[in-house]
This record gives sequence, structure tokens and C-alpha cells, in this order.
Amino acid sequence: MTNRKNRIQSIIETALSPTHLEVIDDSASHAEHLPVLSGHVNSEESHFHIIVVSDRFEGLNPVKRHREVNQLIASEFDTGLHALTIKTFTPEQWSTRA
Amino acid sequence: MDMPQLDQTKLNETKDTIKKDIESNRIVLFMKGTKMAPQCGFSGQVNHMLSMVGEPYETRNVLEDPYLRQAIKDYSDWPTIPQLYVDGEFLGGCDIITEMFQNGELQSALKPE
Repeated sequence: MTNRKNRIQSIIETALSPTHLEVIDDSASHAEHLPVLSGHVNSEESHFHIIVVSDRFEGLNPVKRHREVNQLIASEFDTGLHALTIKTFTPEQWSTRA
Repeated sequence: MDMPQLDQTKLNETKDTIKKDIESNRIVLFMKGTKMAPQCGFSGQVNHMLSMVGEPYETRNVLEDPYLRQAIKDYSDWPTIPQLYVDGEFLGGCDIITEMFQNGELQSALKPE
């Protein structure tokens, strides 16, 4: 049930050495609307939130940061990942966030 | 997956259409649904922020055309919808646009030169 979550976590940990990482499976709260919208039969492991804090983001604009994360987990979109929200921070941004 | 098989030639033609579209319209939002009836929370959110900023913008409904839905992802190298283009450039998806709206950057990015 948590396969995708574990995969995403391990891929990001390896690639970005995050100082903080949260991968949240939010599929349950979309279980009602999902099949209607996307036609996917299986609504499990379809909606995720990711929060990544890494010094690799230093000097990158938001689009480039999100591209990094998206590219790392691109194959997940081919196997039913439907919606993904990403928040990226540098360690400095994370420690001073409002 | 349940996506229909797409013809590569037609996919490339659709990418050309997208290029012309974003070059001839200053602000274009590729979304699920329409301004009046968004069909996804993320699309609805960006649509709402654009209407709050008040600059004129166009929307394209990717649910109307499987080619558009795939071609815009390929064109932008971005896996999710919505996608916002301003002055022919990809500005971001829902998370980025929301962040920009909250810190005031979206308002300046959308103001004409």
C-alpha cells in the first residue's frame, strides 16, 4: 500500500540528500472524485504531497527545482500517480520560513 | 494506463499549435475544464488567482482533446496540469503560481511591460 511512497522517498533521498523530506500520500481524500476525473480504476497511491529541503536547490528558480523533483519520479506518473504538489526549500529558506 | 494510443505526427502538430498559441496570446492557462467550470481543484485554484489579478487571459481545456493534454506535458517537460504560460514562457504549475501569488510576484509577472 505504501510502495509508491517508499519509492519516492528513497529516490529523492539518494538524489538530493535532503536535510528534511516529507512524502505524504493524500489519495484517500481524493478517492471520491478521482475515477470520474481521470478514468483511473485504482485510486490508491494517486495523490501525493512532497516537501523537500535540500541545498541542491541553492540558486535554482522554482521551475527548475520542481523539474528536478518531477524528473526524479517521472516513471511514477506512468503507473498511476495522478496529482502531485511539491514544496521546495533550501535549508536556509526552511529555517526562516514564515 | 488507460490513455488512448496517440499518433506521433498529430502530437507534433499539436505542439506546433501550442507554440503559436502561446506566442500570439500573452497569458494562456492550460487547465482541466473552463473558466466558468473548472474540473480539477488545482486548475480551479490557478484560474481563481488569475481572475483576482485581473489581467486578461485565455484558457485551454485539455480535457477536450487527448492530444492537447499530452502535447502540453511534452512541450513544457512538465507532468501535471494546470500550466501557465506568460509571454511565451512557462511560468509554473499550481504550486509555483500559488507561491508567486502569495508573495506578490504573480501580480508583477502578469503586468504588461
